[in-house]
Amino acid sequence: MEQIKKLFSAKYKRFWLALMFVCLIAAPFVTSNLQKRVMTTIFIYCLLSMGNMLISGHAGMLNMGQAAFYGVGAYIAAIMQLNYGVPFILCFIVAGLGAGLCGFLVSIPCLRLDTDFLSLITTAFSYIFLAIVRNWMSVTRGPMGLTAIPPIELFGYKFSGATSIYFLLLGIVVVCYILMNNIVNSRIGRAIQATRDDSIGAQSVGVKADLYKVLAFVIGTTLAGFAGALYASYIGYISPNNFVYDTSLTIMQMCIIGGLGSMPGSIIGAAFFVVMPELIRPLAVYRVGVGGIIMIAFMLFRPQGILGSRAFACSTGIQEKLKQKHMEWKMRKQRAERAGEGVR
Amino acid sequence: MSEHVMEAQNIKMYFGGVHAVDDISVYVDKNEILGIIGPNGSGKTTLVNVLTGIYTPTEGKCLFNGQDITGKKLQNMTGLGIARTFQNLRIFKALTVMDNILVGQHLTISNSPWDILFHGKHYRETERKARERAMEALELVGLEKNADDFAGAIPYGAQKRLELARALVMDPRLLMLDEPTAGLNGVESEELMMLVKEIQQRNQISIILIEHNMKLMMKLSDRVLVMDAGREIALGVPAEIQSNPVVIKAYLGEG
Repeated sequence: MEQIKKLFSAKYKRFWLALMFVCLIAAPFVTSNLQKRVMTTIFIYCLLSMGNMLISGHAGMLNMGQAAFYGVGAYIAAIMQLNYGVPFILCFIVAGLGAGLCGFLVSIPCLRLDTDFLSLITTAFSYIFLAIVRNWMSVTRGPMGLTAIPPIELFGYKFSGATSIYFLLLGIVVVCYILMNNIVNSRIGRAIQATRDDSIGAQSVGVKADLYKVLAFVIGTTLAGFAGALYASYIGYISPNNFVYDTSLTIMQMCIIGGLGSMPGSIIGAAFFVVMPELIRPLAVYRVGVGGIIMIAFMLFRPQGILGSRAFACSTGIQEKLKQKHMEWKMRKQRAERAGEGVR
Repeated sequence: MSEHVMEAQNIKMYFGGVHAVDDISVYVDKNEILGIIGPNGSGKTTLVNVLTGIYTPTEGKCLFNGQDITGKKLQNMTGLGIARTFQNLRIFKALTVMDNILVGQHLTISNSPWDILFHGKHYRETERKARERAMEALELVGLEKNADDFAGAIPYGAQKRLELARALVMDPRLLMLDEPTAGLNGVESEELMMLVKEIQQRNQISIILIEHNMKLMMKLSDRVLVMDAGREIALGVPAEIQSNPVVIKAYLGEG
């Protein structure tokens, strides 16, 4: 056991990272098209959950509308390409900025609220978005959705094959991950986390709490916008059903399972929740239920998530509590023994 | 006038009908420790909250080095050189001890957005310096061994010292300590207060100190303000306060 633990220590971190990269680069050459598509979906969800992780995990704002920001990005990119023939790279940037702007507007009223009510506001935003998209027939074509969105084209190269899209998205996820990690480990990231832990305490050291809450929200939703633009061009078809509330919940689940307040956790969570339904496909109709059971089991045994920090979860899981109980019992026994000796 | 580091003029803080702070005027000079004592609920913490901008006073003015700071927000106070600790700890529990201190240097670490995104040379340089300073501050309060622990996981006394270190790393000119020894045992609180005194003398800062421990208070403070029910009932050097009949009555009740 000790040796296994040693293998995963910081000393071998570079080795594991290198191995992971080799696997990721080699993967498309040995996998089927379906597997490649699953991996690509994971990458898109990685962007979404990384954004949500910054908002919910690091800034502590319960964002239940990530799918709506995702949708904003997707629709902006799709409409720009279909109606105006704007090149993809521009659509990609505008989609991110558009989603970020929506995030900015939503976060302003959120400053006055605590976590619970904030989740209601973001939920409301998510439903407003759906209502608009479903009913604004002339622009979004309502429930029929937008079809025939051209595939991604960058500098004259068409990303139409599964392998090329895989590599493009892998590159984007790696870049975004590095940038997000850099943000989290900088002055800004620390200020965001400090605001989450104690807003007044953060203000007392000169952190402008409101500013950093808004900033976290804008960065997180911008990532969702990017993911939306990529998704629209990757699948070639978007409809309101892609951006329903359930998607937001799935993204939130990814963050919770991965461990709130841990960037790598968001990636593990995304991988878990994309792969899990594929693995238990034989269970067909019970899939959603199994997902729920896994969530409950996680909350019981490891509430801090796979990689989450112990301090953030505050209370620990059942096994920790049992360990504690066992320790207490041992202490009591020892004390009783000592008392017994005293009597003798 | 200008010698006073901080001056409060006729501060009144009413919450509806409750007169939490009622017409208090007090000042702190350079290198001075001003103690504030009083029974529970006498408005000590409210006064400090008004002085640090958590509340805007109903009436009255706060001056810091002659500059009017009434109604300024808490987050803007640090830039002026005012730091404080809280009665109920306000440390960042899910951050490591080291990160807590680094957040304390929020205003002194200057990085451009470019630096923050790409962790360039300038970023690494400032970060290294900040870490060194943080380590110094931790050594000062004796927490250097806990640097990588979660702040929420270290003992209560250590958390108190951590909050003090976080305030000190801001290089304040005025430090407000709200019951720094609450919840500590006799030896711990004595150590902490000696540390505060030492730092005050070395860095030449002014301190406003709220404390219940009379013995320590009388030993440390240069002047003591006694409050009861939001009003000032005595103000003077410790020796005077100790023999003041009004103070004795407030603390021990009427015979």
